[in-house]
Amino acid sequence: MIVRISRYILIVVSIVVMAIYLPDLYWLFFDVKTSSPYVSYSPVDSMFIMYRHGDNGLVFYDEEGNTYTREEYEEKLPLFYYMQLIADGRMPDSLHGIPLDPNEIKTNRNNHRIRTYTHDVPQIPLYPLLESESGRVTLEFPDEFFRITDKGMEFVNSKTKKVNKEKSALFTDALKNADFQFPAKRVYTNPTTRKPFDEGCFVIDNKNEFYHIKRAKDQPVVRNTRLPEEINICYMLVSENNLKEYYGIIISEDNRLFFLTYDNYKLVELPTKGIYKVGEMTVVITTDLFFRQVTLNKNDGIDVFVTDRNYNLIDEYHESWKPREAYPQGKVARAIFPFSLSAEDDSSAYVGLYSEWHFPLAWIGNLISLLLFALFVKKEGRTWKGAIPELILVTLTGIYGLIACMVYIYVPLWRSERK
Amino acid sequence: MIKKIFYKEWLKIRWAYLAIAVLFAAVMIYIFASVAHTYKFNLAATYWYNIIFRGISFYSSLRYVPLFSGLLLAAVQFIPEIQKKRIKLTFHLPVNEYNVLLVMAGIGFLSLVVMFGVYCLIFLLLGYAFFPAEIVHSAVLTTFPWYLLGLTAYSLASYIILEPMWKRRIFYILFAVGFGNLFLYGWFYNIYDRVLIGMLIVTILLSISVIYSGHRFKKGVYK
Repeated sequence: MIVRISRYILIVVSIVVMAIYLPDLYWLFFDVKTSSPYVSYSPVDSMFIMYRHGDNGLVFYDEEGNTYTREEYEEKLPLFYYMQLIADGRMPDSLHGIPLDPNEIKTNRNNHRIRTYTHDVPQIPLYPLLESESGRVTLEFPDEFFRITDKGMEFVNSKTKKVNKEKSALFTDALKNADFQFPAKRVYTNPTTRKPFDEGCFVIDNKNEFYHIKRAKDQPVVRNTRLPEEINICYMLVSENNLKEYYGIIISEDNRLFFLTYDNYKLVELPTKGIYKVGEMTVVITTDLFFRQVTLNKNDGIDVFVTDRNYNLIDEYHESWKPREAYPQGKVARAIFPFSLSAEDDSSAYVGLYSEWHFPLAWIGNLISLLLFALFVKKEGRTWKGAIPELILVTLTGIYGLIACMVYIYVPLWRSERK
Repeated sequence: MIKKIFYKEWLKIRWAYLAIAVLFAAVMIYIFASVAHTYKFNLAATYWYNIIFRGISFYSSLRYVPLFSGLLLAAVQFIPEIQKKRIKLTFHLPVNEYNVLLVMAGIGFLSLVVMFGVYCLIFLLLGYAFFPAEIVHSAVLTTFPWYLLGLTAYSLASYIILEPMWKRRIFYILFAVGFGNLFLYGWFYNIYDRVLIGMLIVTILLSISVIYSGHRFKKGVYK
């Protein structure tokens, strides 16, 4: 009995291992290269202009199919390539009557990227709280890190490893006065000194309210942002920038994107028309002197939305291409491998056993595997009844089950050791 | 009888076991000496920042130590058994062969568990001396899959060693290497947290693998 159990455990493990590595090995040989375009909105022509990697280097073109040289392309995007254009003396002084001041352009230019897994990355719950009004020109990294437990907000000194009781009490009281309910569920912050100023951190408390906590002249500044109740935050990207229009980008549980604005924490929704799915797409949000652009990158397409500075949608661009699964080799893969497993996935930083199922196409491969296995069973003169568990296994797991059963039953090949 | 088997196994593994203990001690000393050194020459806050936000680990030298321990212990315990097919003698003892094998593998497995447990505890306590609890706990959880890999490597290595036929061994090794590799993803801390229980169960289930090879050995399937 125990022999049989151990054999089945080993067979299952070998099936898992094969389901992880064999499809990868297959794709190593037959993968298809798809190149996605880098899409921008030209303020010169008010249309989408893009480039992609072709067989002979970069190809620049617009949504109507006109192709450009690199120089022409750059001139269509003066808010992006202003440095190059100024260096070449090609920079226009104004556009549509609006003067193009390099400093203005720079202040307005922001680029935020949120990867597919960013919302699901492990985090050691210790954060720095930078001094936001130090009077110094540059930000300084503090010696203390804070945690928000059910006891309160505690500052731990990294040199002495001791809790700063005074400061902890000060901040805990400030939080209590603002009706903050301990402990914090999540903390979002931008822990770097490479930014123009500091906005502290944004914290979800135990009753799911969203707080803004800052340190100004070593005093706590705590505000309840009073977000609408129907917004459940999935992730926030905090980004202090000179534009000072928004604190950062919020992704809600229902796959919507917002700017959390300086206008009393009002949320401004960015257009995605319900296409955005957290965990499946990389979001790139750019701002410039004229527009706000949301780009959703998927592995089978791209969706771009452009708004004016008041967040009214003015244009959108959609393109899709065949993912590798739609190519003949993708169909063959689905027929050969009944499923594929992976320890990693784009949707999360955590290791798991992520699966992808290929039925009904996989029945083709499974039936062939079953047939082959049946031939061996017959050749070995085994009774069908005795082989039932293995026959079921091969029916369900196809090529993986076939290989596993062959290894664990029929190696040395062609001659069973049962005799 | 069990007591005597225990003694026999102890004779086989004692030097290797001692070597593993020394290796672990050396690695622990190295890790925390480096930590102390870093504290001395760098800003503590920057060090914490690198650990917390950049995922830089101070304990990565520990990564392959449990794996090596598992392989070594399996080797010293089971390679002598297949030389001149000595294990056949064991199978002729007046006790159930499978129980003998389970006891043998159990001794190796448990001695590894004890070793890993002790050093895990030492790591935890030394960690508290240098870091806040959050960082130490994250470190322990991040090293956990490596210890499980050590145990899995022990089980799989002993079953591969005891397997009588080379043709099969090659497949076994391929599966085992592929499986072991799954324990070693490590671009960030705590990424295994959601699967640790599952991995623990699989590790325990695989600990009886040696029975399968022993069964084949007993039947006399060698070429």
